[in-house]
Amino acid sequence: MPSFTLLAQSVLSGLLVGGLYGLLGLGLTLSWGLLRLINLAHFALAFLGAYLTYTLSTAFGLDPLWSLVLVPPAFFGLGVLGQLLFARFGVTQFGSLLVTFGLTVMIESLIQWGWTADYRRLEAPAWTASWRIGPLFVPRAELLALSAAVALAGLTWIWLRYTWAGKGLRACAEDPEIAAAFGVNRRRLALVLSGLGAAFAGVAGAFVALIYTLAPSQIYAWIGVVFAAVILGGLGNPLGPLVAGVVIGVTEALTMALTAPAWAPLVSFSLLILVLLLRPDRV
Amino acid sequence: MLEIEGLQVAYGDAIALWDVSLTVGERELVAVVGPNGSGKTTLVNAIGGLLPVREGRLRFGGEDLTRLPPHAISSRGIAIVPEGRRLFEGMTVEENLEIGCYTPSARVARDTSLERVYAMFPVLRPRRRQAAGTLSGGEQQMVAIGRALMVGPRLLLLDEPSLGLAPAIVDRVFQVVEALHRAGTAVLLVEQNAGRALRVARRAYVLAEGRIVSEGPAERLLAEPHIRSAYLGEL
Amino acid sequence: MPRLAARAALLALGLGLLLVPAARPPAFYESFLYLVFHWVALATSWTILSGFSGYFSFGHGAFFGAGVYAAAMLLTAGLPLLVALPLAGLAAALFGVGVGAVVFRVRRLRGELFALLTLAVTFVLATIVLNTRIDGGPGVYLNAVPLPRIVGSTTATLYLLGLAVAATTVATAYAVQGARWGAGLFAIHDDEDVAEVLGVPTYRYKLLALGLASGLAGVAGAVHALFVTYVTVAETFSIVVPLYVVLMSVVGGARHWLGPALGATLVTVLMYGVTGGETAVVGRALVGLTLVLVILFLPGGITGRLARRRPAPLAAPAPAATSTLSALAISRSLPGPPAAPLLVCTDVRKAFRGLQALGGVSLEVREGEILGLVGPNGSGKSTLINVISGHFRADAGEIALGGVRLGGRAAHQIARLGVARTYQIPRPFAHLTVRENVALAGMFGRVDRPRRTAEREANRWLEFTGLAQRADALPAALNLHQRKFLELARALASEPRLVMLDEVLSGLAPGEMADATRLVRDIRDRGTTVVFVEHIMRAVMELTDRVVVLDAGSLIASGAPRDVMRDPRVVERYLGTTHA
Repeated sequence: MPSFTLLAQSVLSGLLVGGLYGLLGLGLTLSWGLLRLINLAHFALAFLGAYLTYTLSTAFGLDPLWSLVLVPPAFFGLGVLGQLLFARFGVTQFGSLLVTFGLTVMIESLIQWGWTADYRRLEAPAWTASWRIGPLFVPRAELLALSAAVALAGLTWIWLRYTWAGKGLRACAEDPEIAAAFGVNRRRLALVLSGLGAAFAGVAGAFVALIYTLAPSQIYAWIGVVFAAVILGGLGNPLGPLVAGVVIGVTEALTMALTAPAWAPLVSFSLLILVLLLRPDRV
Repeated sequence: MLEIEGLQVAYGDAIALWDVSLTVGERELVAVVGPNGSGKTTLVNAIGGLLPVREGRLRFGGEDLTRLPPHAISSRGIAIVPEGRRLFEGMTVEENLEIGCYTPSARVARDTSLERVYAMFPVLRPRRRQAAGTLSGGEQQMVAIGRALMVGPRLLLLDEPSLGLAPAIVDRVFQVVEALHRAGTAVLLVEQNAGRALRVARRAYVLAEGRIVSEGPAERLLAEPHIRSAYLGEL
Repeated sequence: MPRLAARAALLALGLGLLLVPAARPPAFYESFLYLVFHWVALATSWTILSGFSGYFSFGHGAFFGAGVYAAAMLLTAGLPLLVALPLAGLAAALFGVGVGAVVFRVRRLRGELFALLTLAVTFVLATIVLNTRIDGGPGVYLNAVPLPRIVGSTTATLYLLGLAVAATTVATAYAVQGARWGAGLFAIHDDEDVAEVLGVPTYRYKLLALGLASGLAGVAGAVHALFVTYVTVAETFSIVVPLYVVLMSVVGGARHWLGPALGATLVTVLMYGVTGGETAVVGRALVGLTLVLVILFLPGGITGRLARRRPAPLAAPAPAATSTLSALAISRSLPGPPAAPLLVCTDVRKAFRGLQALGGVSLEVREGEILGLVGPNGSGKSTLINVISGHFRADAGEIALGGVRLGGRAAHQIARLGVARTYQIPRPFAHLTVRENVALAGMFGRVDRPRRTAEREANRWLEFTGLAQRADALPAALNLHQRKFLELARALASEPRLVMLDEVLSGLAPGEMADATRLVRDIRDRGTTVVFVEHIMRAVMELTDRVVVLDAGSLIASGAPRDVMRDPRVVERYLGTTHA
């Protein structure tokens, strides 16, 4: 039986990685739940953001925090462009899965062309340090990622709940025809939402760069578990991927501590399979 | 106020409305009755901008609305209570009502409009934070009408408000419709239940197989053979 | 390209490929071609289920991986090559069938969800393999496995094995596409519900397709294990396999047996053919771009575009429609006074989420009659049709056709017993021609028919409904009138005893309506019993022998048309409450 400290550290790690799942899943759940578009390229975009953060820091000596200011707005524009593309071609929900997979491959190639397939690690001592709470280590960057996830998810939730745009989007998701009859301009709202999703990808990418070693193939490592978090958390709910992500993260960490590390993925995917089999209409 | 001339509406190549012409004057309550499949909902959706018009003209308050996109229609003062309610079931009652005043011009009057609706349908006030999908059929109809009222409409389009409701609730709905009419809103009431509709309306049209087959004062229509044959076949 | 020349070309290609090792080329070329075969096999096996039926699986990697590891285990245990390879394929096939048996039971499992589910299955399998003795972590070494040396090199052996698997897979896809099974899968792709109602055993067909697809992928995996000689979980179960397989099939055309092969060849050349440094990345980017462009502009893939270019074969000249009517009449005398009941409904109930759509409906349909089924909006007419045809299961009550109980049977079984229906808004199979639509019904209807026969019979039905000139057109090219008649032809091709027509006249112009009315009468005169759901009262009066009125889920009147429509209860329900 592992020590209490080990278990507590596991739970903490799980909590923190859950934050990152939530951050990565935020844009995905918004576009899937509200626009009926499955954006597989979200992950590639996040990694592009990660690599840009890396370069801004290593080549230009900018504090990584500057990436959070520079990258998301640029990505907002990319998101808007993407949505214009989808709207212009009338891409269906299933078609979006395939098109964004193509985009993923293209972005991955771009990354590999720009930064090669070598591993890249952002060296930022200030960020890789950990705080200590008793016997537990709390890595600074990861805690910041969790805070960012909570903040962004919370703000988005408030935006969807209380603003006119948010209500309009939710109405569109349910019945776009009748929403339009009452003045909701779906086209414009979709552009804003896509831009926002892409910006969130940029934020997630910045944190990935701070916490992990980067390689182009790593894009695919996150797809499975983040999709699980998005579906389990309920499509369209900004807080969903965060909560589900934390649950998955903690369960994975405990599984790793109590059995062998490699059993961890079984948790999220088994949960996902069960949800899809038993409650397909939830999705 | 509302002038429709020679309207033709189709779904792909299935023509649902042939050469339909009708008018609704200011403060009038006009009914359009007809059997199932005659094109009543198509007519309402065309006026509400939800369906493109193949041929013909649609004028409202002097302005030609025929080619406007759907989200521009409500700002002109036309509000729709769709067939089957079509509420946003996952959103609360109050949020549904708020979508009614989504257009910038209506937004400013949000609070007063809400008060008006709750005053007219007191049963909704305690349920304002409830998800619309959990309400009963009659309550949902109230919300649908309330949502349309939030637009502050000059013309209200009602599509089969009695559908799927118990007779007692239907009574209440028609009372509300009459009250609205008395308060000055023009109403176009489209109904399968001719008996009810022709009792509240002054003037009416009979729609069958996509065409207007009869029009005139409501009491006269009810006694005419046209209406019976439209619904029941030639006897 | 005329058929014969195409087949000759393929044969020549096959022969040429077979002889490559004899030319003793450098190992690089054989390896490269092996990779092409590898992807051809994987992509083609994927398309047998996913391309044909539309159930896009993102889990092909799981079946591939199952084959890889099954082979690894069997070969390291010492089993001979020719035993281990098929067994590995079998293991993968059983795994696939197991997954399908569970997943295909889920109703309304949309495309995206099936994709994600199968992806999740891959990860689960990968984890299990990684953590158990199957792999355990360090991977499995296969270089000790003895390989026969054909023409003196193991590369040649692997090349030939790869070629064999690829050829088998492509040949299988070809066979499936041309068989009744394939026709059923294509129908499932366009509209699974309608396919089921026409008699296609959808669950069984999908399951078998998945089994075949996974088995073939498993064999390809087994051969690949030998090729790489060192097998790891990370490489085997990487997300690359499932995703590229989809990409290759979509690019080449997922609905054609040769499409994935074309796509696989093209993509493999782009990916591996361009070697070294910067250009390899460009190759990958081009692959991604190709997929994007194909989805946006060429949804049918390369083969889809090529197929459209081929001019449609000349339609056979249509003989006068009247002469065929007598030829089609079954020897059955016209019904006289009260005929025996054909369909009997007893106290049928159906509720949806609290709303009682049918509240205990009892009625009978007599053999050879045209029964009108009328009622105001929401009265339950459509629900009744859906329950009888098997789309919904009744909550209570009995339905019997000619004494045989229908309740509890799958829709395709009810279709085989002789029940057909049309839809108010026509639902033809969009990617099948008019003739193919009708032929499908003939294949799976009351009488089992092989594909060729059904296609011949289809021509006669098309003449009956006046559609012979448009036999090779796609449904989208037809106008509403023609599409409605296509519905009728399709419903009749299954030779039903009972046909239920759901608002067949709605949307038609008066002249077209007269045509349709005449056709309905002809259908009855041929010996098929008709249930006629309609709102247009003139037609009901004209056509029907008896009328049954539903209101709010209950039967409120039945009898001769004129009597029923004069019944005061009926008048009241239709026109609304009281007036003089």
